Amino acid sequence: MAANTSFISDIYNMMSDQKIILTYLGDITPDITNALLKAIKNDNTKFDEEVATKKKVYKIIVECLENICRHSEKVEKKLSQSIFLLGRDENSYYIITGNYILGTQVESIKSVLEQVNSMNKDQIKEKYREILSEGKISDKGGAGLGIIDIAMKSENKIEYEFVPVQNDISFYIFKVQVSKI
Amino acid sequence: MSALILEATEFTPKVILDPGSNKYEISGESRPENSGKFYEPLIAWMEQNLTSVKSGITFEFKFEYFNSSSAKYVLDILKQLNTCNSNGCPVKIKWSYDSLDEDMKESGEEFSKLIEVPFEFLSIE
Repeated sequence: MAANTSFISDIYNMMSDQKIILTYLGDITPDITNALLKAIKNDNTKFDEEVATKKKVYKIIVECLENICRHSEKVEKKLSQSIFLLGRDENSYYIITGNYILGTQVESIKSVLEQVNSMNKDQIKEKYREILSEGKISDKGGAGLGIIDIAMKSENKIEYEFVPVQNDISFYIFKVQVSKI
Repeated sequence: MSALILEATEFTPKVILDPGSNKYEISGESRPENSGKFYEPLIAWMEQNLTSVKSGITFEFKFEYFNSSSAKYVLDILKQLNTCNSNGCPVKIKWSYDSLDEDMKESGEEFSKLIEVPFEFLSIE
């Protein structure tokens, strides 16, 4: 008798149909970040685009994963499971992340996202220089520079959602697209 | 004056700060888990050793990639070089980038707006 593994076919079909290149569910630690980046860097089968596009996607993924590492430090262990997804459609690559954050972080993250989405490329660059020269960045980044860097490189608006999970915890969904060059 | 030379790792760039051979270069990928821990010794070395150099410094940046928390320290390095230049040591800054990597060129342009020493941009094939 066949084992009850038909869901594997469902997952396989769904991932193929949606052209998902890589997805990961679990703790996103610096070690996992490195493993994922390595896999992406070395994947030349599904990722046969122009070098320029690949570079852009890679850089954005680094910032996305580092953002998750940074945020999840503050959330209790049992809620440290995050999701990362890299996929593509006809004209672009997309990166989606989902992770738990503290309710108290929502407003500050939201205000940075609203701000970058309201700015054009030159304004984003100006903001980047401003944060850099003010030197308000901690050793692990922060101060919104990562998000601004992502916006500067992707040249697309960032999509996001905060889903309240319990009292002081929200699930933060982040999506960014990179148009194929 | 002793040189500071660091080999590249998966997460940190190769560094050559060598007054003896007059070679100053940072190259490769920079995404240390803790950027301060990696860059602060470099900046301290520059503070201690470069102020006495008077004959001229050519500093080459050949980044493949740097993350946003490294960016702050790249600016600190540039500020050190700017100080050397203001103190009478002629400084040249070369910013090399992969010809397919417009973002890296743009990053260099943004940095160049924050200090006085002009950049020379080199597109590498």
